[in-house]
Amino acid sequence: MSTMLHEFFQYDFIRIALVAILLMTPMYGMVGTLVVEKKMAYFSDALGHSALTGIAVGVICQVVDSQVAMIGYAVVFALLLNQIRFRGKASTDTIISVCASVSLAAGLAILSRGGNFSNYASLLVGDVLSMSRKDLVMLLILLVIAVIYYIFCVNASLAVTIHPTLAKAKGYRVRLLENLFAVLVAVMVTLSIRWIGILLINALLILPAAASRNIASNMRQHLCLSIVFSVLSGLLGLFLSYFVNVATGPVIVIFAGILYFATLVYSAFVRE
Amino acid sequence: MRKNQTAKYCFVVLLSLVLILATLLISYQAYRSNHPKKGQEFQVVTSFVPMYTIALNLLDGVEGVSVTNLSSPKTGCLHDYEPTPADLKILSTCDVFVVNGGGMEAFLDKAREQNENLTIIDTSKGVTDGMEDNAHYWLSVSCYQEQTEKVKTELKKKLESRGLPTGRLMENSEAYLKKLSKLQEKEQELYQILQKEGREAVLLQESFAYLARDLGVKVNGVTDLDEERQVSAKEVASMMEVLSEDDMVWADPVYGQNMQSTLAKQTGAKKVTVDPVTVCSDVDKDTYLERMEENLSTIRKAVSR
Repeated sequence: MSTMLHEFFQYDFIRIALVAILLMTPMYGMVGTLVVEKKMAYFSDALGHSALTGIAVGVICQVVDSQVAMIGYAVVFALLLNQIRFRGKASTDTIISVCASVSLAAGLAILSRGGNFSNYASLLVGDVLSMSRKDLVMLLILLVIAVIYYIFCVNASLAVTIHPTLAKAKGYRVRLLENLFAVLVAVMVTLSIRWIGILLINALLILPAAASRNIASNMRQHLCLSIVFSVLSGLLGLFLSYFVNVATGPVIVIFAGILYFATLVYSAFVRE
Repeated sequence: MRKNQTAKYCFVVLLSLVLILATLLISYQAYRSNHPKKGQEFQVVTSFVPMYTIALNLLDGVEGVSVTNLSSPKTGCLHDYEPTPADLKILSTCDVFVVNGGGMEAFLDKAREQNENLTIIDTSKGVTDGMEDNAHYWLSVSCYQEQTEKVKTELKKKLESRGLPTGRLMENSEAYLKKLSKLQEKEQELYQILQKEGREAVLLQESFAYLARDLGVKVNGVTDLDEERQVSAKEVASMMEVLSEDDMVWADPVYGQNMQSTLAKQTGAKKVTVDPVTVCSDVDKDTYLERMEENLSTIRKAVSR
C-alpha cells in the first residue's frame, strides 16, 4: 500500500492536480449552496454552455486568449440573463433555456465553419491533469474572491432569495447582489471549464450542495457538509481515476452522485 | 433533536469512511493487477495504431525492449484523444515516444511540457513526399516506408547509446520494409487498372487523399467527417454535383457511412469503405498490412463491378 501511495505522489502533474482540487472543490461546495438555494442550477448550466459561444466570439473579434473571450462573454451573458429575468413575464427556466439555446446555436454555427469544431471538442470533457502552476494562482485568487463574497453577502443574498420585497424594504440592493452573484458564478464556471469540461462543470457545482441539502437542517450545516462532500469526492475521484485509468472529471462527479443518493435515502428514512 | 444531529454526523462520517475504504481497495486491486513489470527494460511507447505496428515489427524479438501503445486501440481517433493518468505515467517513465507528428497528436505539446526529458521520434520528419496541411502519412505506403526508416534509424541510435544490440532490429526492419514493398507492388497493379478505367472519387475523410494520390485516383471533393463534424447542406450539394455513376465515394467504417449512402443513392456512385487503420480492436504486428490490403481489394472490387 505504501509503494502505491508513493507512486501516486511522485508525479508533478498529480501533485498540481491535487492542489487544484483542494482549491477548486471547497469553492464549488461553497458557491454551490447558494446556487441550489437560489434555484439557479439551470442558470449555471447555461453559463457553462455559453463558453463555446464565448470562444466563437473570440474567434470573430480575433482575441488571442480564448479564456479572456470566454470569461468576457459569460459575464455579459449572465448579466443579460439577469436583466431579462427581472423584466420578463415568462418563467425563469423558459427564459434561460431560450437564451442558452440561441447562444449555443450561434457558437456552434460559427465554430463549425470550415469543419473546425473538433479543435474545441476537448472543452466538452476538460482535463484536470493538464493544469499549470499559473492556473493554480488563478484558482487561489478566485477562491479568495468567493470567500469574501460569501462572508459579506451571504445573508443579504439569501434574504433576497427568500423574500425579495422584504429584502428591498430592509434596504438590500437586490439587483446589485443578484448581478454580483451571477458574475461570480460566470467567472468561476468559465475559468474551470478547461479542467472539468462543459458537460460536467455544473454537476460539480450542484451535486455536493444538493447532497448536503438533503440532510442539513440549517444554512451553516448546509455549507459545511457541502464543502466536505465536494472535497471528498474531488480527492477520491482523482485518486481512483489514477489507478483504474479513466478520466478524472467523470469519476469525481460519480462520487458526488453516490453522496447525493446516499443522503437522499438517509433523509427519506430519518425525519427530523 | 440532538440525537438526530448526532445520528446525522455519524452517518456522514460512516459514509465517508466507506467511500474512502472502497476507493483504496479498488485502487489497490488495480495497482496490483497492472503494475508495470520490474526491471530495467528499454520502454518504447507509440501514439496510435500505425506507429504501434511499426514498433511491433521492428522490435519483434529484440531482448530487453518493451512496446506499449498509448491511445487505446479501441478508440484510435487522435483528434479528440485526451491522455489518461496512466498514459501520462507511461510517458513520464518511457525511453522513447514514437509519434506520427505533423499535428496529428494534439496532446503532444502538453506531454512535452510535462516531461521535459521525453525523447520523441517524430516520424513526419522522415517523410519527403507529404501533402500540405495533411499529416495522415501512413495511408500512403511509400510515406509509411519512410516513417519506418525514420523509426529504424532513431531507434538504432537509442539502443546503441544504451549499449543494447541492434542486429535484430536491422533484420526486422529489412523484413518489414520488404513486406511493405510487396504491398506497394499490389498498389501499382491497382494503379494500372484504375488508370485504364479512369475513375474519380469524392473522399469523406481527409486522410484518404494519400491513398487516392498513390492510386492515381482523381479526387473531386474532400470533406472530413468525424463525430463532431456537421456538414452544411451546401457542402452535400457540391459533392453531389461532381459525382457521376462511374465515380466512387470513399468513407471510413465509423463516421462516414450515412453520408456515403445518401450520396450513393442520389448519384448512383459506388460506395467504397476504406479503413484508415486508426480504430482497431485487436492490434498485432500485421494489422497495418492486412488492413491496407483489404482496402486495395475493396477498391478493386468496386471498380470491376
